Amino acid sequence: MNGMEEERTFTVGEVNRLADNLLQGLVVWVEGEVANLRSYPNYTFFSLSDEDASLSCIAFRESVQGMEFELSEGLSVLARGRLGVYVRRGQFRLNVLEAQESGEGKLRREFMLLMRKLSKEGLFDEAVKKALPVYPEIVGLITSLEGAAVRDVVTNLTRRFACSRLVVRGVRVQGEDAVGDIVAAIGLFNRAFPVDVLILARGGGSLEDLQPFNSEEVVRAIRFSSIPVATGVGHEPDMTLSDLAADFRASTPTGAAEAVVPCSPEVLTLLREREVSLASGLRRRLHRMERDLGSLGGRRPFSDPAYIVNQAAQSLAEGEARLSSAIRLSLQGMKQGVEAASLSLARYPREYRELPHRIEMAARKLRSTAISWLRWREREPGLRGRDVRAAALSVFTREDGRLRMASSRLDALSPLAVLARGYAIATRAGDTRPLTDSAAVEKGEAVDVRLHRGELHCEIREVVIRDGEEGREGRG
Amino acid sequence: MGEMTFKEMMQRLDEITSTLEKEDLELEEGLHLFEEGVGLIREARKRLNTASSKVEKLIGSMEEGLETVEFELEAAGETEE
Repeated sequence: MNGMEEERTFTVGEVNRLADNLLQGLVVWVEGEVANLRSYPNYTFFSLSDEDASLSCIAFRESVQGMEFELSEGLSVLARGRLGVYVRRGQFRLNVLEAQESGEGKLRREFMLLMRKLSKEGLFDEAVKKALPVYPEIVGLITSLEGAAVRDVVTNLTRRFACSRLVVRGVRVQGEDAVGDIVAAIGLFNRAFPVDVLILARGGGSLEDLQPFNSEEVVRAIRFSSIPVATGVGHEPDMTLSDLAADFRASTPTGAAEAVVPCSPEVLTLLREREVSLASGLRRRLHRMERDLGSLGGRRPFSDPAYIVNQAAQSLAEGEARLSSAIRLSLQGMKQGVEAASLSLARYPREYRELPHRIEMAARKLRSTAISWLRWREREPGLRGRDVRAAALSVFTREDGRLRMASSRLDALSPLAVLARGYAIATRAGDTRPLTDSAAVEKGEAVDVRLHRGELHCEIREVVIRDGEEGREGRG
Repeated sequence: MGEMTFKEMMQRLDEITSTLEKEDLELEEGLHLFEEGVGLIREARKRLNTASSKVEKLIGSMEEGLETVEFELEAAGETEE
């Protein structure tokens, strides 16, 4: 060791160069936290440190530009560089060729990058999210069978709403296989075991523990699941990309269980409300009908049924009164006519005298017709008094007309009228039958001759029989 | 009615309630709906109060066939959280 080197004196620069040469441009990977960061246009100085030591670093512009992150104090960095000595200062340092974030920082960075990318694709859009069913029949749960998450979900879900069936699919939730397990489970439920809603749950953990839930594959599986997915991953401050993609995000497994099924007491309250509104709906309907009935009942015919009868009775009475006065008047007129006729006929042959009787009979018949018609009218209250009156009047006018015609015919036939024209009626003395044949009397017989005014008592002087066949002749 | 799921019962109940509230029905039809609604409420209450949750575990794979077995909560430890 003490050989020739001791005999040779080196300059400082030579020593430093020697040291640099001895390192032989060794390239290493080193991880540490960035400190003492000083940036210049062409190079950046900093040190990487951990609990034990500190290492000076230099990064030239090209290297800095190649980094996908910005160097900052306290950042965990994994750097690759060439070890060497800066001759002018004799400083041992790492010439950083490339660097990347390490640890949590790296994960966070990847998280942000992926989030930006998937967000641009629209995977987190609120508009594409599906609504959770209100009363799921079957709930699918994807979680670790060993964790607290499964207990939280099972306990809360069954306690809240016993009408749902819960089907658990066990998966690994951390480590290399977690992503594959979760993606497969989501696919399994979608393709082979349809449920109404899925819960993806996991207890809290570090960012690294939650890594599967931040993977692109799981995010896509959630988004493209046709079954709505609710996530319950970790505790409040943690937000995973799965949460962003899920149709509903709860911060804990318990929260997810609560979101997915209704709460029985709340459903019971809702049922009570429905019961009340059913009853009130029916009551309202009944009230409306009652009101309608009331307003109908308030109308006179319903509130006072006698009104209808009274109305009919009144018009009937009116009709009756008019009818009877009309009948009375007509009958009176007829009676007068008949009386006059029968007076004038009293002394004439029976056929004439029968006429008044026939007229009387006709009048009776008319009266009874009128009465029975009136009775029929009573049974048919549909007719109004006015109609009755009109009908009655027309009947009586017609009958009156007939009567007048009969009277004038009677007048024409009356022997009195004939006598007035100069004719005379001859009868045997004491007989009322007019003589119509000279053969009925003998010469010398007494004959009465009735003139228009007064009578003659005669004696037959000669009988002349004027008959085509017999040719008998007599003279009075 | 026993065939209806809880969801179907609640949907039908909603329908009945809004029909009774809005539409001008014959009294008889209204009474029918009312009776149906009351029956649904009774059945839903019964289910809520008497049903006991069924928790199952889905095992197997799509290739080899799937089946569900009863899931015992006690099997779940508290190794995490």
